[in-house]
Amino acid sequence: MPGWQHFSQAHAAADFSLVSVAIDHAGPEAARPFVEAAGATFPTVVDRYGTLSRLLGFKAVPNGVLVDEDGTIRWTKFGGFSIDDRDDAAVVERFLRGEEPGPSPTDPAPYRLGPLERELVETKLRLGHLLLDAGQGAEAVAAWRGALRLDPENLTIRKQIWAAEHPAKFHPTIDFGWQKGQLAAERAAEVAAGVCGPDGCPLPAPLAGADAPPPSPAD
Amino acid sequence: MNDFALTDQTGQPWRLAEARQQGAVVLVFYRGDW
Repeated sequence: MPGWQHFSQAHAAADFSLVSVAIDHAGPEAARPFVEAAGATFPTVVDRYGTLSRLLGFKAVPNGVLVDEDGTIRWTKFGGFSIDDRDDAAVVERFLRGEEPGPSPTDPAPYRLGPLERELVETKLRLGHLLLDAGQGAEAVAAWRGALRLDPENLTIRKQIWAAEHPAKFHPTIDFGWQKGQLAAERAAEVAAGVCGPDGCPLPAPLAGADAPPPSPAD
Repeated sequence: MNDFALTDQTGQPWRLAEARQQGAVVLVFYRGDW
């Protein structure tokens, strides 16, 4: 965020809006300390229910989305977006000058769920949020784990579960080393359970599960 | 991009359509710290 604050100040005369979006089920209270610590003067909005992650179809952060004044998305980068990255910064600069920002990077995780799977994941996520709001934290996590089982590559769901189960690893500071170890342990467990392959979770049939017969050659 | 409305860190509403009236919008997504 300090890099973005510097960028915002350097472009104070430009006619554009810089908005950071915090994907955090804990709500504005969780985002506020980071914003205040960075002295950010641009708004941070909180996407508590993952509305934009579903709308835009991303599964991890940090991301950048450039929207022109007509509402057209002109460029996206899902994963690894940073104003401290020279190439990313150059894209934003071009965009704000009214120039063509260039092609969007290829999504590093092109695996997509089918429409029915996606609807089921969203339903489970929303159920989890409703349960959390009702004070049923354990049931909420169970619902989110159901969503993660269907969409194991989705790091926003995975981190949401971690934040609920291990809040001390996320607030007031984020323990990225712990996350790395936790992800490796969970990946290993998922590979052992047959949820994911050894190179990740590109398997296109998590809904089919282990009980579904393999497709015949005639299919 | 469809319009959307969210709440900022102070509890104030923020809407994409209103921001677009001022010009282009740069959305940066993250979770917690940077």
